Amino acid sequence: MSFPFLQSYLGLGQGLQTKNAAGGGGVGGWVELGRSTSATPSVASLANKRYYMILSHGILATVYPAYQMRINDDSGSNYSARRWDGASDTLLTNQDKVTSSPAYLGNGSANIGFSVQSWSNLSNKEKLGIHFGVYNDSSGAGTAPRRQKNVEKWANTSSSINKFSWIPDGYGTYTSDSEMIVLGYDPADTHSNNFWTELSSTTLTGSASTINSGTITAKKYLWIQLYAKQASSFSFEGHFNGDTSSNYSARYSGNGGADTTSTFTKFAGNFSGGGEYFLNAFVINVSNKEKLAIVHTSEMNASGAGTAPRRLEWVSKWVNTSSQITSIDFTKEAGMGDLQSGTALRVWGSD
Amino acid sequence: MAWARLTTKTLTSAGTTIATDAFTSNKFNFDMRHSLYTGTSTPRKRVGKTTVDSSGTDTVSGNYATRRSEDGSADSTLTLRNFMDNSAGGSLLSGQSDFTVCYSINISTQEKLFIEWQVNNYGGTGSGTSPFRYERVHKWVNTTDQYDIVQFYNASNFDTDSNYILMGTD
Repeated sequence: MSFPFLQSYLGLGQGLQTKNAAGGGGVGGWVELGRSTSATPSVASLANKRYYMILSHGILATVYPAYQMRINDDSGSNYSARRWDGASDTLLTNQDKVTSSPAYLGNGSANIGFSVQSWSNLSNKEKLGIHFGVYNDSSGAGTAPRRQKNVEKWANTSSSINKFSWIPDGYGTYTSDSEMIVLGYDPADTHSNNFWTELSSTTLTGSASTINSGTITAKKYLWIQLYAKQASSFSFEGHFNGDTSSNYSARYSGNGGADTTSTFTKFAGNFSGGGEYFLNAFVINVSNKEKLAIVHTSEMNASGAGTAPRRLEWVSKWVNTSSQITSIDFTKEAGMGDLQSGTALRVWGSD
Repeated sequence: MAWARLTTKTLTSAGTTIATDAFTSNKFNFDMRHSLYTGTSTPRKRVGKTTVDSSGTDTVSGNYATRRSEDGSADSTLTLRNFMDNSAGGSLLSGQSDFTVCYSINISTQEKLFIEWQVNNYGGTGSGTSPFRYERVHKWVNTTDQYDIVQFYNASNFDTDSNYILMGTD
């Protein structure tokens, strides 16, 4: 965790443009600018940063909560979006809020939603956002989670972003332990701290059936990256806390195809053959709630530039509601090839 | 190892390229690009070791391949290109902008894999027009080097204040 009040001093704002700051110089990654844990999360007085990353989770208090985001308290018709929530794009224009939410949580009393957003922020340009969301729909591995992927804009061209707010939209409500955390990054930043703390770094030095994070410190938000190389007969699966039972459920799309749902023994996997994979995932990890993951892969397919890579979009849930995730592994499926030397797993986290 | 900034570039005048200096390569990378445009634009991305890999042509013999979807349409692929496609379905126009987020793996002996998303206001500025969205995966098939330089190039100019920033960790 970082200290929001400090970031205003370290960030310096966008007035000082670096021409080309190569080599890092010890400047850290995403820093926390502010957070709100509330039934109506709202983070104000944000330092002016070129980029924001927003982690949000909503927990259902009363049925059918459908929150929308407002920026700088602008309630004019200054927002538009392209929203995908399962079938095709819906175009929304001249909105008074941007149409995304940690989740349209439905009516399950144990429901939770999680979203990851990225925003650009330059005062004289429209603000552009990319949003990925997952919600558990209803509890249990028999119900697949649902997902959203939206792009959004706030058409303001005179102000920088200084506030993000989730606004209830006339339906249900969140509990008071719902949350929004706003991270920032600016080219002029000089901070050396990070919101994301490394929890595990493992690289295989020989072939093995599995790569395991070992025991990690439990954190509410997890960021996972995997590079996997498999010898032959390609298929692997990811697990939390060594749970290889059918306690997971997923909704996924390969190469942009229609979504498929299934109960699984894994929170993540690969789409197809090719033997080399890069996986990126964000996870909400609340002990007494189902764990939700947003997963994407880029897969080599076959070597050489004559073959395009393949891709997998995947949201999943682990239905455990008694523990936080404290280990992550990726393991070859039965009859498949070993993971090869160089396979690398990294896990970062934060509360 | 903690995430750290590897490089950033902000244009102080309009130009047809956004190019980094050479940076210290890391295995795991995350970058963001916020580009502003002054004219008809179709931005493209290249990487390389010391110099960008531009071998081949726009259509054959290159070392990059891409899979992409625009606004949820069926995937299309580009192979053997000398660039990674970063453009809208058509050309971005003066006054428009895009915002791109990309995760990548950069191991010297393996093909480099990229996961990328983009939003832009290709359809027009103002809240009366919805933004457009793009989902892409790329690969750069070099298996001898880590990339340590990134370049975006464009038929027209990137405007002043266009920015690229790259974070990495081993």
